[in-house]
Amino acid sequence: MKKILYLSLSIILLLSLNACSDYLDINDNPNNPNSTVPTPDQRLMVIQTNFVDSYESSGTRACWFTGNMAKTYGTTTNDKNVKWAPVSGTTTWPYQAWFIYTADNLEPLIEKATAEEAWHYVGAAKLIHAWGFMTMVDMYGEMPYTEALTEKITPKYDDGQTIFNGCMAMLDEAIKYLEMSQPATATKLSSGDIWNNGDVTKWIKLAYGLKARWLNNLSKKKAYDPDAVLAALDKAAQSNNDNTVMNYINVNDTKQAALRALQHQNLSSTTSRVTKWYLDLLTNTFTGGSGIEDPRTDLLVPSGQYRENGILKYVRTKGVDILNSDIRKNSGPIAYNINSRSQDMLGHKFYDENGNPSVLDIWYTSSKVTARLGDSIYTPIYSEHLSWVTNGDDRYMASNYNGKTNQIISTGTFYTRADAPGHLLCYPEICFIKAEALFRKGDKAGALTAYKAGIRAHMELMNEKLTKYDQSQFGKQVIPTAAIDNFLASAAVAQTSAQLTMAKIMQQKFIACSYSIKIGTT
Amino acid sequence: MNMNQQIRGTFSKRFLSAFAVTLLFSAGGSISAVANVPVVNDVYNVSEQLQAITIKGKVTDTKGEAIIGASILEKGTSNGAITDLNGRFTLTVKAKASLVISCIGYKTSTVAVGSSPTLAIELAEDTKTLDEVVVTAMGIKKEKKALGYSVQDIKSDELLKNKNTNVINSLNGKIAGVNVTQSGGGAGSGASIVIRGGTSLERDNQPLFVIDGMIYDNGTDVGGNSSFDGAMRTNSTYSNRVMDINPEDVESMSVLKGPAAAALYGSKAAAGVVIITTKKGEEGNVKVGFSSKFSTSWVNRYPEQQNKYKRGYYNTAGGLDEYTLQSWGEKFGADEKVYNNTEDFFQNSGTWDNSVNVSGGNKNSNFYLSASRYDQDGVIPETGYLKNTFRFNGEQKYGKFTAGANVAYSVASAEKSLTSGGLYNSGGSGAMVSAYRWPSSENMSHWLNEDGTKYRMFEGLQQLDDDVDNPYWIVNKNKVNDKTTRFTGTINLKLDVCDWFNIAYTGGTDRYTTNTRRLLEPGSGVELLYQKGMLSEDDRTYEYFSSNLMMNFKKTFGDFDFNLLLGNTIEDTKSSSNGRKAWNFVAPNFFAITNTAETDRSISQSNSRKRLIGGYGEFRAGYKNIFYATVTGRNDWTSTLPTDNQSYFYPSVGGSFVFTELIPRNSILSFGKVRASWAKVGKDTDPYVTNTYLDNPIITILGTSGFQNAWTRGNAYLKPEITKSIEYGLELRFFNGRLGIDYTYYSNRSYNQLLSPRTSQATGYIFMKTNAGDINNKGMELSISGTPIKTKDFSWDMTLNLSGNRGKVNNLLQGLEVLYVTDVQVGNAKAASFNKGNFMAISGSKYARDEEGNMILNWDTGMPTSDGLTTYEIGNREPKFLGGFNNSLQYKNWNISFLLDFRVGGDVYNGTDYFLTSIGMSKRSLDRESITTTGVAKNPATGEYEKKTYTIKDKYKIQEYWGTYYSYESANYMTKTNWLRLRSVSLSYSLPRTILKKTKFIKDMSATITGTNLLLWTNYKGMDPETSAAGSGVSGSSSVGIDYCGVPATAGMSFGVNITF
Repeated sequence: MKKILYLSLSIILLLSLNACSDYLDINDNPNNPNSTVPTPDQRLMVIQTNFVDSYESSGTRACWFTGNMAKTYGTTTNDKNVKWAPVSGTTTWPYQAWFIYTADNLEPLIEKATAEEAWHYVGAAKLIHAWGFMTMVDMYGEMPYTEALTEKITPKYDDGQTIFNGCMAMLDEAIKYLEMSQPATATKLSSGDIWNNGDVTKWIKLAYGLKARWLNNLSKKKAYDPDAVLAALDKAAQSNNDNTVMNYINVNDTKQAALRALQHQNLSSTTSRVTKWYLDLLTNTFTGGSGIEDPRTDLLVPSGQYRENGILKYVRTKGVDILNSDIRKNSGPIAYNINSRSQDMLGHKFYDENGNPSVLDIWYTSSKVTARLGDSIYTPIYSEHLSWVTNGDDRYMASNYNGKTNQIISTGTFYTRADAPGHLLCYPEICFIKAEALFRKGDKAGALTAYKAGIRAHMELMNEKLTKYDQSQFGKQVIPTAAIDNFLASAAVAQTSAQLTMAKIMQQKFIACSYSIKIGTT
Repeated sequence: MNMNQQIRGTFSKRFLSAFAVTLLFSAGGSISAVANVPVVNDVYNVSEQLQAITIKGKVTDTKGEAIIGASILEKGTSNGAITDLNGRFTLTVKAKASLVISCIGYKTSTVAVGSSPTLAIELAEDTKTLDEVVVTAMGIKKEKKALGYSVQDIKSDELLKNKNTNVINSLNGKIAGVNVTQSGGGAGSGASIVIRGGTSLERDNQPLFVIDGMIYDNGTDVGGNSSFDGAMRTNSTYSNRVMDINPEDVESMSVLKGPAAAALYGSKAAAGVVIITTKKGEEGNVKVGFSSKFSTSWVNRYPEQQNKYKRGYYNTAGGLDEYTLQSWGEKFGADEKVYNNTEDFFQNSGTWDNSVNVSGGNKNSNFYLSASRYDQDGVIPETGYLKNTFRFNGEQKYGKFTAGANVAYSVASAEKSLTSGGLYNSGGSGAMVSAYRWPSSENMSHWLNEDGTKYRMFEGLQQLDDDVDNPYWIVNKNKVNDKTTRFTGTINLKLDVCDWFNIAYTGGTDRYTTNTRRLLEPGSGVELLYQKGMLSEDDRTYEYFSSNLMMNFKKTFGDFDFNLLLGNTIEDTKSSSNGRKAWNFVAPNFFAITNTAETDRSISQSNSRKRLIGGYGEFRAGYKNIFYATVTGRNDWTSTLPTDNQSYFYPSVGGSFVFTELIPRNSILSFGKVRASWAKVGKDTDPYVTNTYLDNPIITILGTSGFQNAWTRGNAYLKPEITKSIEYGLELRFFNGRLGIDYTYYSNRSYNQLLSPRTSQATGYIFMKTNAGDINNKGMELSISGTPIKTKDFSWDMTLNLSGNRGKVNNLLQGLEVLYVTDVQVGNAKAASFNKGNFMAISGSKYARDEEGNMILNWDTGMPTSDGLTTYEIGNREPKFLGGFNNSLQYKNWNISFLLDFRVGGDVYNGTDYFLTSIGMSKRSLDRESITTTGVAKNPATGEYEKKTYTIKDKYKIQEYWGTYYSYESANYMTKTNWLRLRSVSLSYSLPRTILKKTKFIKDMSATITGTNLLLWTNYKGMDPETSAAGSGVSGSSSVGIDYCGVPATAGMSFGVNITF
């Protein structure tokens, strides 16, 4: 009996103590890889994808706050941005896209890349680290930096200077790694780089371009040094060939809807409108403007098709005057109702400025308030997405702009189409930074050259994309060289260094940076 | 003298405090009078009566004290009497008859009637009734008096009195400290049970269920492939898996309420344990039991709706728009038809509940075999719940060795629909939401066109995804089905090595598969992707294996008793889920995953595995029958915690002192005991939280895929969650056990809570696994049981249970002031736990008010304003106290039992009212001709606040007021709720044995009529206040007390027959 007792006791002891470690070592999820698994290229392409969400969504918000863009009267969180009454959720999105979807992936990328000596990935990661935090500072000001992305649950906030200096140093590190050569065994940058196809020289130019951009942002600070800006510019993009661009795609696949341009995702709704202020910059119809219309106007603002005397023609949107009119106070502009096709609704739609129903169609404004009847002159910045018109069920037939025969409610705009290019950092901006720095230094002749080069470069940059569209479609046609030349020679553009003002540089820089975060810092 | 009248009168005058004593004596007094009435009995023939003898007797205890109220019965007859205040009785019996003398607290004695007409009868005290034995942790039966903690149990007959297919519901009101919430009246919908408040801020707070020595899963599986096909807790009804048990199989349920009682079970014991023991065969002839019950039930309370105004909506310009499903329209005209859509939608539910069992045994073996079928049609058309169960329990002895097996198999399937929608980016694909909102001016039952196609109110006017689907369409077309096939089996081996040492082993497995199927038929008002149909199927498998080896030693030295238990347990839990989803059916009206293009399909898979090893021991010592002490310890090794922290130890100590052993025996206080215990238990975490994982691969513009980290950060430094508990109790019994009082005070603190709170996003993550936060629960429980009346023919047993718990939260992370239950949000109101506040709170928004409490109104509109914050603590869902009053009255072969349960305090948020108000369907929104607001408003001219009263008559503004502004004060929809409920009442009749004897083969036969939930008194205005918006399986502070468009609770009647052959 004692034997049984001892045997049982031993079994208990054995089972309890001995078998533990192996038996219990099962706590890694068999279905889902943990964060140490992905290769550097698998990390970088998603980091880039998510970075542009943060970066370009910051741009969207800059559009709302600077008055590039207005919205119809409403109470959603985004509508409140337009009213300068930002609420949580919409304002924190760029922050979330940066920290949650982008930044926490940089360290695993650097670790993995370092292990295989894939230095270009390390450099790219460090560049994005700097770019992301500087974007956050531009958007939000003070921000956790030194304790961010650590295990601290409530990391402390750092001031702008700490972050600025940290980011500039980080860019230097990035350049150092990008300039290193990788062993052949390391993953090639080209297999994971969705911006520059693994072209390291473009990355290095990007790093210097960013340096120049931020040094230039100091123009109102004591530390501003135009020579430092110019030195950085020398190593930045020298032509449109050196641009860093995100080439979004428009696909007929609901599973890949996220591949479309961020400004399309954020702005291409039926409630977005351009402002009078922005439209005036293009038509030069602001006070003291030349009145000469920029050839980019019908590319950057939407038009709608109206039927006049039986003939369909494009009519450019009017800009919403949010500065000098009481339209917002009077619940305007009002949204179109695109849902109803009811016969009794046909009576009130597409009113002209005088409130006269000029056109009948299935889009209408539902308001019976007289003051709002004219709101159909404000065309939505609406662009189609291929997956929205699948299954032969063209839900918004009237607005579809993929060659369908129906009346087009909006041509959309260059930067808000699903396949719009994301001009992350491009040569035109480099030109305007150069113009600014030289202008501040007193070299007005040099500034004029750079200013004119910037205008041309932006038009040429747009043409790179426009040539890919069906040239029969209004609002998607290439800007003819003659039009570029004529405009550059017109009174809309400073022709002499005496005519050149900082305001003129900024006007063109603003246009060249339309729908991007740069309009905020410009 | 009418005894019943007297009892009633006394009862109403003096309630609980003195009722027992009063009733005892008044009953006794009256009974002596009854006993003097000559007994007339039809069964006797005249010749027998002639041989009768009248006996005068006295009944005393061993000390010669008179016993009052003892019953004297002539054996084999129903002829009897009761002793009076002096212990005396008079009874006329046949010569040579035997008398059976019985009384609670004494051993029953049989005395032969001799020639003497006087009898002195002495009854020995029955220590057994005072030495009640209960099943405690690890299935060990212990004398209740030796326990340092509170345990309450419930036996089969009590359980079956208000038999519910979910045994959890049968505990409601019957056990102090237990809070049961049925999640609505949907067929097959579950109930939640929480004992002494929650111990986890974010994880399951329901007790562990142990059946025949094996842990039995009580999960509530939502199934489906993520929320995008409707799989959210708030969107349908789900069963909790304890429902797989056939209640007829249960012999007893023992509720171990706190960590002290449950410490041996380790990691999950912090929330308490419910130990279920199933039936065994008895020695003797083979018995066959059969029971059949038919029930019908109906909705007990509907939400309050208005039926004065028709469909319509005022647009911004003030015009009345017809293009809506809201009900802000014109008043009904005199001749216009008002549809009672909601009530017409529901139907009476019918249920057949049949079960049969065969049992028997001899000295060395016994068996029990059962089968049951429960078939219910829901109160919602096209819904139902069907459960079939089988069980075999058997045991065989071979000398010192006993081997047994318990095996159960069940198949439970539910047919249901979504109750609320919005999950397919649609206007509404939930049957309940639609049924409650449908305007009274529309005929909701018109849901198909004559050609069988879908009737759309706004055909041609709107996209399909803007449709609010008719509930008839939803229940007929968009079905949700699930089916769970479950097998559990345990093998029990026991070797009695010698009289002081035995070894017991239990090995068992619990495995089930739940198949879920969700169908959206083409044409439903859902997002574009699914408009040509969608089918989502999911198979979830749960497999659990446990091994438990125990050695028991016991030894007596003089007045000391010692017990030692050593044990080891191993658990292995695996669960996996395989899902597939497809949309755009190709062949019409054929709904199968394979009937789609390959590009229109997706799959999902998950697996999780967890292992745990435990070593435990318990040492008990007893001195005479006076002092008892118990010490336990357990060490767990879990696979889910980081290697450095995966081993943790926790002890408990408890004792009791039976002080009545030290005072002279007396007829008033028969038993008294004080008890105290202290315990600490650890709780491990879920699998796979120590690492950070990746989201699914993400396609980039390169066409290739890469990865990003998930938004939850793993933590390689996690520690186990710890609950410490202290408990004191007092047990008293009076009058030989006819009145018992059991009082408990407890205080628990659960700390190192395993949380994944929202952190600063600058960490790179939204959630981070961490240890933080405490829950403190303090509470009291009182249980009073008594037998106020006990006569020969009539007895009344009652139990009153009362308990109250206060759950508070402390030490949450810096900057983290509130924790939400993810699934539970209605308007601005959410189920929430507040730092330095209540665990079961409700958060919400408030009207802006000035310092004097005046509402701040908008100067232009007169509407209330709000600061937009939705994080105010506006209420507490935890009741002040709750309880049940359970009664059983037996008169001869008739029994009436009724259970009243009550709840005092505790806020209930009426989210249904909130929703109906926002669309003009609630009774509240009838106030729409003119609205007055009073408060202060800022005069824009002066910049000063002025007292203002606004009278608003503009229809559009009033509609806005109810739709938007009124809900700024979330508490407008909240009620501090009290209720008293007649939970169940049943009347049963058992055929007398004398009649059954004639049939030769029927041993027992009874018929029962039961009413459930027939009466409910409450100040709550909505549906049944016993509600939880997200059902039974919700973690943390749960969804209890949030009422949002669920399936209404039901009341019902049933008729059942039980026969034993």
